[in-house]
Amino acid sequence: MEEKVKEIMSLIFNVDIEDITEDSSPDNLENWDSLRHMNFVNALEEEFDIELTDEQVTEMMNFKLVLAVLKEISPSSA
Amino acid sequence: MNRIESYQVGDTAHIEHLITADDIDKFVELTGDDNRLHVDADYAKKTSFKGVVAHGMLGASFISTIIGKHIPGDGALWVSQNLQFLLPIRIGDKLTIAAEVIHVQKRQKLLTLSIKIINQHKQLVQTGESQVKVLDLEESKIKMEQELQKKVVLVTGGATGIGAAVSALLANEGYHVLINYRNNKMGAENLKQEILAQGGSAKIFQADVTHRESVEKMVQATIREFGAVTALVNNATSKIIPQEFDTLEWDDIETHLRVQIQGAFNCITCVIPELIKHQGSVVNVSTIYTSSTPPAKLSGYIMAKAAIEALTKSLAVEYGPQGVRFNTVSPGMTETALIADIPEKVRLLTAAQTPLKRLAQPENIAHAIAFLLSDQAQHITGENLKICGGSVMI
Amino acid sequence: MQELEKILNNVSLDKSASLISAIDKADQLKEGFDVTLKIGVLRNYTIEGIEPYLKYHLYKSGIKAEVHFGNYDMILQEVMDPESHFSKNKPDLIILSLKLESFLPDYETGNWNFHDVRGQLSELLIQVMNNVSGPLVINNFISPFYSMNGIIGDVAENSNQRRIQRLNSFIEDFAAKNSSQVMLANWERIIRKLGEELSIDYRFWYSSKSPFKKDFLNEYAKVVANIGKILAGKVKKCLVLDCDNTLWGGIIGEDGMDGIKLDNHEFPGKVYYDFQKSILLLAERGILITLCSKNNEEDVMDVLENHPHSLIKRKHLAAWRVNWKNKAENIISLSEDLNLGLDSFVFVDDSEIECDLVKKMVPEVDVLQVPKKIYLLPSLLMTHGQLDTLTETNEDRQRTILYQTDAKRKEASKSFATIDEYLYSLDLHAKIHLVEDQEVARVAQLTQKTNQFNLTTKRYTEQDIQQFGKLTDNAVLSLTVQDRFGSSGLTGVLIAKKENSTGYIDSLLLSCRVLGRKLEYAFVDYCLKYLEGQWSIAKWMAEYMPTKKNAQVANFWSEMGFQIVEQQEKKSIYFLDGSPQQIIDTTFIKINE
Repeated sequence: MEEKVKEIMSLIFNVDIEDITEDSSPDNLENWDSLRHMNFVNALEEEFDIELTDEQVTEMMNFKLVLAVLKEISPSSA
Repeated sequence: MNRIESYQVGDTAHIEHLITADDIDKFVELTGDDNRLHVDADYAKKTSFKGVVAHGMLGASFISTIIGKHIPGDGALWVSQNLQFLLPIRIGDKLTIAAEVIHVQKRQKLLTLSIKIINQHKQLVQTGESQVKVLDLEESKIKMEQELQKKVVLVTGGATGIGAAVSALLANEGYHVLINYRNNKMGAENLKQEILAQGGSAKIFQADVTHRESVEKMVQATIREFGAVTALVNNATSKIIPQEFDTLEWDDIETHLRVQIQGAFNCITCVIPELIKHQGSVVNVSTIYTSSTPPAKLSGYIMAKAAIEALTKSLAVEYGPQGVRFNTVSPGMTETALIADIPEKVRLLTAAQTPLKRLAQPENIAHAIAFLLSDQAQHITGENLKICGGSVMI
Repeated sequence: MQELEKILNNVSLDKSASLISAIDKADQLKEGFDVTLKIGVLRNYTIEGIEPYLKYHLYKSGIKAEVHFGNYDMILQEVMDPESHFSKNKPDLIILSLKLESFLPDYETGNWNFHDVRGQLSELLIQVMNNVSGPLVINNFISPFYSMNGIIGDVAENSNQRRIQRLNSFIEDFAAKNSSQVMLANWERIIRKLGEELSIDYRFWYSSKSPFKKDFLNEYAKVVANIGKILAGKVKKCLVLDCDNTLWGGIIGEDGMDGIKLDNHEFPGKVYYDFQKSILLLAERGILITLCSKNNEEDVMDVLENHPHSLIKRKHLAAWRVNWKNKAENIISLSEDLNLGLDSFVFVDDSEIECDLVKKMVPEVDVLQVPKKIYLLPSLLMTHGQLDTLTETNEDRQRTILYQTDAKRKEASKSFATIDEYLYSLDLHAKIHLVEDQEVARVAQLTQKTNQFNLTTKRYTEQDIQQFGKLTDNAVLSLTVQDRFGSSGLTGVLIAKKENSTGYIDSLLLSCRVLGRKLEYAFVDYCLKYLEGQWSIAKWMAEYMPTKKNAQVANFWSEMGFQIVEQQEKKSIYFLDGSPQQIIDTTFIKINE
């Protein structure tokens, strides 16, 4: 799952997959702005066939939190 | 300690001096008193003194020497002096100037000296009484010297988490550390070994801080082992268990109050005499969550922490005049076993919402505590230092 | 072209990540585009999400899009301040995107006065229209998805539903009245097609004022992109149709007249009947109809002329290739015949093999395969988007006839020994004059569509042409051609302006229909001499701006006797001192007689 998320982030935020680290967040990824965040949410929902609540949308503040939220939704896929 | 306290009634000191013609010449030059009795031998022969005599004050001047150099020496402030000139002093006399402490007034830092000047014939030439103040001019220097000699800290709940971090840090800074633990003997023991391996000084002691006798024993053991208690860190805390208020019994709340408040009370009361003696300092560990909106379901815990902050302030006021400082540290969420039950997502969110984008490490808290205990914080008391990465700024 | 195509082919529109990433890459490309279109968006809500979809559709047509979003909710300030970023950007196409909720926060509660709101809206639309530099796309509003007053709500005289429908009528009327500049993006139609679930993102509307889901954004983007394509001259002008299982069900050669399915009542014949209807509607718009079928010509013509339900007749066809050659060859042949670029063609066939072949051999041609769900055939061409024009003119309606007369001309030319003899025999008459009101639409259309004989390829709208007419130092001249076979219609435009004592030729273009008859020389010669008289000038400057399509006119100004003054990468500047000399003999053309 982690690899898939990194792949999506690389496509949406226009960065190489190698540049995505544990600490990746809007603070250090230039293209991770509010508009792209919405694209990111849509892409995650498409990929994992889930629906995120608006709380979960705001909770995904960095890569680690994205994984934490996704784990919350489907604890089995890790 | 004040210098006045090093004097007792009966302390003495004396010096000797041979009076020469040169002394008299120097005195005349200094004072301008060229009365023929002191300078004109022919004139002096015709007087009842039958010869030149030294100025009375020349003899008395050696009282200054005794006071300035011996009793009390540095810090002497000569307040008053009475003098009786009993016999003349002639060239060639060997004078012995003696001072004896006949009264010590500790509060006023005042010494009363009885002065006797006798000549080579054991005749009493002059007598007098001096009042001398004994000032503590270089107090901090003295204090630091004292401090270097003795730094002893008692850390409650010292086996893990923040307690362990502060124990290790203070040991590294030259403190003798008494690591208190309740159940975690292995943790305490391992920590002690680590400290000793680094060349530090530590001892462990099992005590439940809510039991007064245990605390008393612990303090006594500390003094026996290290000779003093100069600092206290009230770090022992109750467990953080989220519980809705309407499910709480009074006992649940009292547990928080007993561990945190009564525990602190026991420790403070037992060590305060030592702290006063050594101008020591106390740091209480609170939490950032009393400074702004607390999390839900922690009413007992938050209550206790708020109380410990109040205790800090009250005691800062009461013991400030005696030179004992009380301060609080308020950590934000810190990476210790205490937060093990908090879900990972909550921890990540807390970190993400902090300006420094991380949780506190126990070392961050330890450094703040060490600073507050140190002399660099000598003018800080009653303060609440937040270590929360900026998550709360008031 | 290769790189861009590759990137865009890897996109699946329902995978946001693939789209965003592809557009990011495409944005960086310098090659593969032959025109740039600047789009400005004035809005009162968050619509940035449309950008990747807009770019996708425009990039697919080789149009580089630069999209600039005006400040949120400062629409009037943006357009009325010449120093604003928006104004300084001078967009070629402006989208005014309004969400009713932002305009009217109380709209759901019903506490609003219809006349006041319509007044405000009208004011806003007029101000924007008058203060922007190009065509404007507006939208109508989405009616509420539920009634505030329950079941009686929708029927009440003053219900929200009704009032919003009236507002929408007002907006549609506004677009119609100002059709030279304003176009409508029909949100109501998109919503009807997709439904609430696929269109509205309540979550992002509440958190970020971004209301639309990707399907809606895609549809909205397609509408705007189609307008952009037309503005950029990328229109489709000609249909190439297969016959068997395309214009009728079955194979004429095998099933015979009685066996093929073509009927105005029964299924599946009705489907093909309706498809033919849609084709004729396109013909009315000026789209040329041609056939390309592997059949005997007599069999096909038999159906067209004699089948009781064939709406399409021989007279509707501009040309056809009914033979056994390969279709790609045939299409190329048609393009040469009709003098149209291959990228103006749309090919429709039921066979996957034929479609593949054409896609590979002539990739500029748009290929549509007859859908497996046959009942979707009638709407196939209606939603294509690039078969639209921005204006409709008489020429459009008569275009097929015009092309047919052209075919006759071609036949005739084969029987003359020299070109000149042929030209003389044509009895050419040219009408050249300052553009008249009823010609404005056609003139504008020509500037938008003409790619080959076009010296500077400047695209103008009706409004622009009208504007030129109003200024004393500007002139727009039209050329209308007729010969012994018939009229070719208005097929040439020259736009010039005067500065001090020099005339500047801004635009010169001729429809490919009338090329090869030296009309261009006569036209320019006449226009310049006429304007010299009007403006008292004796010097001319002109430019040639090379594009991928207009190489044939590279030397035109030299041929007219101009001297080249400067040659830059993007244009060459020419100068003529004095009046044009008649270098080329065009005495066989009668002007204004």
